[in-house]
Amino acid sequence: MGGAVTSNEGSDDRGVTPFTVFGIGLVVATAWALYMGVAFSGVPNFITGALPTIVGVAIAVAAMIAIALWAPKND
Amino acid sequence: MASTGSAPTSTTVTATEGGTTEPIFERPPMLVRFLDQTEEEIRSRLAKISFFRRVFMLERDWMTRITMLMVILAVVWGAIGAFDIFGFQTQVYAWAMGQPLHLSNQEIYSSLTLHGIRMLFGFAQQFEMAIFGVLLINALGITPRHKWALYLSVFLLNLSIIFMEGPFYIYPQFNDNFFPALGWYYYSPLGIHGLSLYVASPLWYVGWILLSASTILWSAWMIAHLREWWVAHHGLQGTGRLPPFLLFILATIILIPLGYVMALAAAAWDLVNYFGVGPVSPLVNLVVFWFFGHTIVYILFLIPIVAYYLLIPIFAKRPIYSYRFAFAAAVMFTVLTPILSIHHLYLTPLPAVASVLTMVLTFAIIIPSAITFFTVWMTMKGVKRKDWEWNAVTLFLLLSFAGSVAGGLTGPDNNTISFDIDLHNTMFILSHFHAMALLSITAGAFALTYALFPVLVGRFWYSPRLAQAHFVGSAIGWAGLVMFMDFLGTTGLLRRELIFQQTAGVVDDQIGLTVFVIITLLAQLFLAANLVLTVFFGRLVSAKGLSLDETIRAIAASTHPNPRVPIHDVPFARQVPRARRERVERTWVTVAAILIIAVLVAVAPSAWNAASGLSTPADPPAGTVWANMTGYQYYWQVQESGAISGTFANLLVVHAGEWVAVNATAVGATQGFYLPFRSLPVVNIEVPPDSETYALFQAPSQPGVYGMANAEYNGPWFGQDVGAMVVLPAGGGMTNLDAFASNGGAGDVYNPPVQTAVGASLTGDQEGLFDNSVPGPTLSATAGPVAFQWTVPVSSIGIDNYLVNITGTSQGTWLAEHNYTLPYDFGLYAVNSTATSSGSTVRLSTITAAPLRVGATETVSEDLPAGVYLYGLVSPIPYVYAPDPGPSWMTGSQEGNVMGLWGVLWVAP
Repeated sequence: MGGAVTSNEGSDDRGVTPFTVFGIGLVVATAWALYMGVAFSGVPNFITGALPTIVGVAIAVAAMIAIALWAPKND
Repeated sequence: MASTGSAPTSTTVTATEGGTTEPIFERPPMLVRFLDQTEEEIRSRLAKISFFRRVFMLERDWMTRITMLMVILAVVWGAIGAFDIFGFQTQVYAWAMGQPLHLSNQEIYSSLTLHGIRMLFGFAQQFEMAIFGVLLINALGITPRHKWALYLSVFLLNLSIIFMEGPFYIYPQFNDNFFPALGWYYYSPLGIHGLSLYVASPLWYVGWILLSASTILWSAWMIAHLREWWVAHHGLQGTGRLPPFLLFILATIILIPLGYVMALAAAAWDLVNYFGVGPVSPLVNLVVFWFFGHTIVYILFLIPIVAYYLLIPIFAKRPIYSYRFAFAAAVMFTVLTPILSIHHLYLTPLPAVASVLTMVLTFAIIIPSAITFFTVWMTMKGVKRKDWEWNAVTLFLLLSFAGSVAGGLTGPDNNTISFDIDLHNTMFILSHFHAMALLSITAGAFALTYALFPVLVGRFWYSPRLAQAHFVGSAIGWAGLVMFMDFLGTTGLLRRELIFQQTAGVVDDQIGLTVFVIITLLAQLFLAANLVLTVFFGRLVSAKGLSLDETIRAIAASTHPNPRVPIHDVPFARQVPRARRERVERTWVTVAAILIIAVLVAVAPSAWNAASGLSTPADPPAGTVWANMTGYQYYWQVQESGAISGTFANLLVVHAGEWVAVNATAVGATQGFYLPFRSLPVVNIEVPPDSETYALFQAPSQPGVYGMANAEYNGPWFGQDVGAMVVLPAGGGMTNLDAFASNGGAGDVYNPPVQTAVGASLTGDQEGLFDNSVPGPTLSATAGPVAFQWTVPVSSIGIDNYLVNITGTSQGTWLAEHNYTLPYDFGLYAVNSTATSSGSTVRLSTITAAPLRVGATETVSEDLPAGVYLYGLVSPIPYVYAPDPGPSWMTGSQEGNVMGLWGVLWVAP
């Protein structure tokens, strides 16, 4: 191989796991998507026309995170 | 490969040169031999030049060569497409800053059109075909065949992009004003000779046909290989199961012909219409086109999906969480994607049942996305920090994952019909689309690029620092770009809008958007530099003794300045049984399905009301104003009856709080009637020709002048296509505009600014408007002597100014020959109301009118009673764009009736 790739099996395991980092990405992205919808809260038909969808998205992602935390690892 | 089961893999791209060893009775047809031999002739000649040999891999097998060529062409189209949007955004920025525009409207909108075409098809589609082709061949371990078919497909694809660019003149003067200005999608009959005033070159439609043929041929090429593999292996016997990423490549192979055949049908239909043949039905044509228009979104979305299913198991060093659910997701994507056309057409007058059913099915396609993102995320659960490296591949995977979530979760907003009214055709849609196109699809494509490009060229990445800079710049640029598009969408600003009111918030957001466009473009220079340096100076890849997974990890490590994680495969023994993992997946899918049903139940009534209101005439209360509206290129003809009767161009007159029933149709192009209220329900309907679209709304309670925009792009003078709804006080009489002006006209983004007539000096600009506003500023005054000044400078008469036609005679010469006087009257007109038994009749009465003189400063000075008046050119100006050499059947042509140099004078008691 190219030589720059080195093995370091003994390095410690401090720091967040990729599962956590992707989870943070999920939360940040969801927050942005929810903001995009909530930004229309001043429009008169927001409550009946838009809010159910936004709330549904928020609950779905919360449920996804809860299930993912409860679920067994991919071992 | 951790995810591939027992499917065979190989670490290099190999192929045999066809046509050299077959027995004579098995020789391919003459045309195929000709194509193969021509390619070989070109290759051998170019290979004599070291630069070409290195860049195009001319000494490698033909599959590597064509893949490299496709990647290079994709990058080239991507670079040109980036230049296109830079050109467009610089003009938007110039408009926002009140600076002169350097491009014509035609050039500006064709930049936008070609940006979409080059990026979506020249770049993304071609890239997808290149990578998926290599992955399929390698994953199945088969020898690529039918070289002629793949080469012909690539040739047709790139030829199609050139055809869609349209013609331009070099002599007697350079003229690129006949490039198509249509939008990446095109709404019949816009651009069609004989049906639309703006006519595109027929090359545009031929280009679409070639594009469709190219991609369908590619799919056939892929299916042929799959079939050969299937026959050779007697199905899946002996190979276990297909790797999960391959399931989504199969979905792509199926979706491409299903989608592109509809684009082929729509383009062929348009082409025969172009030559005066065949039935014309814009609404049906829209539905046919969007069967493709939606499918292409998912075809390209499968790039990041394949990236996740291929790469995340490789870096996690373990299989995906649930193969069965990945399989289910692939099947659901394939089944649902082709049937969702109508969710792009919620505001057109289709039967409500079709729209609501499509809304239900579109919510259903959330399920495979939910499975995918849950499954790939769960695949990483259990991976230790020390076993994971944040190199360019994994960073772009993370960005794509988050970007898909950010963009994808705004999809349900668009899909809720009652919410779509607020969002449709606004910059919100552009924000959603670019979140998907950039943060999701392109980020996924870059993850694949960083993982696979060195496999292709046989060299490690040259510079990890350049890879890092590329990631950071792209992430910042894309996120900012999507954010400012959303800010603009929240105001109600339409997409493709070059001309807009220069209010502080909109100007700030446009500046922000421009900054992040530039950051995005600059970031790609780091990738370009790294690609070139890698080809010429990268260290050689030796995959000897390595699996494909290990090779990809090694390649990815070359994008990290200090790689520490071992690249070698590790044995993986399952501890958590499949049943338990699938129970988790089932739980998640069940929860998601229940939530979708709950949302559908909650929004169904408002969605049904919104959809049915578009396609059926309203049953309004007594005293309603009826407005029969016809959208032309580029103004609304309004005929009112009921409480108010009258006929106007670009003007709707109502009383405060009055109900208004709109019955709209269009000529020449699909139009959109849009009142972007923020304190009242938004009015937003699509109006295709040969159909009628309905709207019923209540006028604002605040008297004033409200902008009434055309929400659907209908040609190069789209920006000027804004009318005015004049809301008179409810009880008759007049009030002043103080209250209206103090709250910014209810905050509606298209309302012209209010300024006092005293001291006003209106100046015509290069777009043929007063003070960069359409309609012009609303002047307020009190009854009695009213005076204001106006001028149309000679310098404002240029290529964007519809007031003087562009012909073989220059505009300057024409003006001099006609004593700087135009054949149109600049006037002051009273909006007179006469009481009748059923309400009132309103008509325009001329107070003063005289031919418009260019270059002179004129003063309007009259003694006026309280009332509403119009100033300026209150009829559409027939415009012809026919520069020397003039338009021909090959170039298309441009005409229109434009009304922009006018405004309202509001005289209070």
